[in-house]
Amino acid sequence: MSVETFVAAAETLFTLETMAWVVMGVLLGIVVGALPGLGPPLGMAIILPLTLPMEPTNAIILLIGVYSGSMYGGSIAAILINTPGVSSSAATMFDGYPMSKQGRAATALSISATASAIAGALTIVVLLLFSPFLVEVVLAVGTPERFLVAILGLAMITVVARGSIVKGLLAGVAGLLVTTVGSAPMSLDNRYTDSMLLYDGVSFVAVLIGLFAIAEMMKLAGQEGGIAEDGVRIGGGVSAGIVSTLKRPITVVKSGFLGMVIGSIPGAGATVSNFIAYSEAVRSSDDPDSFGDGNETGVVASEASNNGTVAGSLVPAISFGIPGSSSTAVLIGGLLMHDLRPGQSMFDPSGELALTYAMLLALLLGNLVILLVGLSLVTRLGILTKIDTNYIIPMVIVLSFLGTFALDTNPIDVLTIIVFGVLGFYMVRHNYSVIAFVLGVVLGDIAEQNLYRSLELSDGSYMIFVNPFEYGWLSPLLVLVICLILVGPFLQGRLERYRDG
Amino acid sequence: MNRREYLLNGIGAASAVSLAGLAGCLDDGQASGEFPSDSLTWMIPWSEGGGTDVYARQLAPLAEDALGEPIEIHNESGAGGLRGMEWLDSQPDDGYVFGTANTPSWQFGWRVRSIDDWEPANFEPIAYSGVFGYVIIVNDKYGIDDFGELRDAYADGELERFAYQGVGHDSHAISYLLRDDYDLEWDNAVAFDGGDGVNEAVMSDEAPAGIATNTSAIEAVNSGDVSAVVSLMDTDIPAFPEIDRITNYGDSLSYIAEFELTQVAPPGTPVEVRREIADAIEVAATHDDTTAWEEETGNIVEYGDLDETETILEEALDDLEENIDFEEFEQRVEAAEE
Repeated sequence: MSVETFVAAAETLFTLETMAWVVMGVLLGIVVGALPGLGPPLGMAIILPLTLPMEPTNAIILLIGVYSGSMYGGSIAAILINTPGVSSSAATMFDGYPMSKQGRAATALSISATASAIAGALTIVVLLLFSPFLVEVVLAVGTPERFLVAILGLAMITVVARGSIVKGLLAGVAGLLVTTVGSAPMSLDNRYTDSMLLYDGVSFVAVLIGLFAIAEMMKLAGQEGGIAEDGVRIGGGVSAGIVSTLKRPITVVKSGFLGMVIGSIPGAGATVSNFIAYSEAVRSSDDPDSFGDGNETGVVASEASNNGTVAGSLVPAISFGIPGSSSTAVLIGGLLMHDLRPGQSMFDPSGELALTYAMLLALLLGNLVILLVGLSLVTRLGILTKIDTNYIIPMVIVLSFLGTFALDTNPIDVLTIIVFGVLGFYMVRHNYSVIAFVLGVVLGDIAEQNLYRSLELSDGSYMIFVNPFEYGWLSPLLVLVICLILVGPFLQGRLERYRDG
Repeated sequence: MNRREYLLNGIGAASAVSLAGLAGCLDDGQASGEFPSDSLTWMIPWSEGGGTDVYARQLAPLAEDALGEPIEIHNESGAGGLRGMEWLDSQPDDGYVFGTANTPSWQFGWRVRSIDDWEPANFEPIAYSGVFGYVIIVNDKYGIDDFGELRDAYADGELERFAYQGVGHDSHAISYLLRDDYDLEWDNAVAFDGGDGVNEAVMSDEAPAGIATNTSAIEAVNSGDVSAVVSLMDTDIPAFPEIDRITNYGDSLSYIAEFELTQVAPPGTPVEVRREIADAIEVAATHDDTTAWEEETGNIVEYGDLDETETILEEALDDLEENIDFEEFEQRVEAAEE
């Protein structure tokens, strides 16, 4: 670890302005997370263009604060009104809401705050310690490997798309098609456009704002009345929640790191990790039947894992510009918008390493804010779930349009959020995976450019992806992993049939 | 005022189109009285923080003092700088909107992309305020110090790949020119993602050498492992006083490898108002603050008046046509694609 850069990063962070952005980011995140229907990608997508006037470090710190805060905020709605504010808190509902019904809402909320903060902080510390090794990995990744990592991300669609794989693949392919618009990277052709406004393609940030902000608001507008139904009386002890969490150190650590590992896989975000961590908690419990009826371990596991995911999902995002989740897709948009290129320079002391450290330290601090706010305001947080939709929708819509236009003053971007807002609305309604679509949109350009560049490097030979003797072992290894992900489910099915037979 | 503040102050009304439009329609002072009587918009066809943008941000506050009116910098990026020029073409010709175009880069892009909605020749010259251009950077592990050694290394087969900044980019055409006319016998030229992409590729030795701008080369050289071995420009580069020059090996390449930051106004802008802006830019470009900035950053500031700028603009496209066979270039791009 470069100590000098680390100290410089700490100095940047501990200025009044930057600290204020951390706190504001986390608080905003908690609010956005707690409002059912909103979530980290939506909150970040709306805030992203508003960060244009800010210094890059503060902008990224604000975005990441929102990300971290909303992971905790999601648990508030899950626990109090049985609606996950964010999908990454879905597993929190299983035991959190029953606890509320038993009059232990405050305990559940303080468990959530404590578990979120501890797991979030632990995983960030580990990420900080391992960042020098991460640099080695990033340096080993050249053009062919970057192409294969992008393909790996696309292959993950088969894993992350819940429900129909065909629908997941269709969504992913549709996302890829979006990236074909604009000037082709390998020729002088303009694809699907004569207008210069589209030469650089469809802005993926605008696509994300459309998919998350506009589509979600359309969905909310379709629901009658306020988002919250009758609230639950917030009872139970706050300190009981803290003690309960501290009594389960293994669950906290295991779930946090499960979240981190899953978060670092492209495409698999907190939505996946909180279910896996919850299932693991059930599996390893002596009393699995008590889950679902207000078992505190369930809340600990789910909440520890989703905050752990934040640290993990930063790895592919800042190393390769590949999103671990929709939220990190927006974060990558933020980095690019502020002229920060994910990759080697994010770990280079003469490059952006100070920003990377500042970002991680801000997350550490953010977890402290979560703990303090979560515990001190526990009894008042319920109010967030009662805000009328009629106030939220116009605010989000207006901010989305203004922000999108401010991105690049390109009128096409405004059209983009409308088109993808409507598309996103119907995708969710008909169970097409939005994350698969996002993966396609974000990875399409990376895959295409690096495929073309790889073939230029190898003078047209596809062996560059598989020949370990000339081009190194990482590429063939990645090819193998991709093949396993793609054919794994079929092999597994056959194996099971064979066994049964 | 920089773009960040500009957007913050009026995120909804941030359109310089409307600002400029209103300025042109509502203020009687502009039509009859002194110029300028209202704020001006300086359009940069690249993103904030880029090489062209930093010049404008250095010069604008000093030019504001000279003009007595604020200058707002407006970034209209996209399409390799062409989108901003298309935007500028549609602006009012009252002198309140002008922009920086890197000549002959925009003429090259316009020619390669076969744009027919507007013509570079129709824009009105104001001044030029700086110069930048290309150098070749090489990974230090090959121990190459000048262009002669680089040429030998490619000829011997020690080196194979050569990095440039994107398909259809001027650096792509330069790669072919270096091969055809200066005997740099690379086996395969590889398109990377802009100047940063080339820097990274040469640093990581994915390509041993490539084309970088003189300013980005400073960053690459400072980060270690990379040297700038030959300048493709005619103008001296203070940051690399000892660097070899391509003119030692053939004719000048400045018609495509050296760029003047020319300030231009929309077609029809009267010469009197352009001279006012040119005078303000001269004050800014020759100011002590700018000299200090120049030394600190390695950016080359050079002022040229309206008449000199007019000559540069007039000759840019002709020089390109004379020296580059665009049809052959397009065919080569297509052949490489296949």
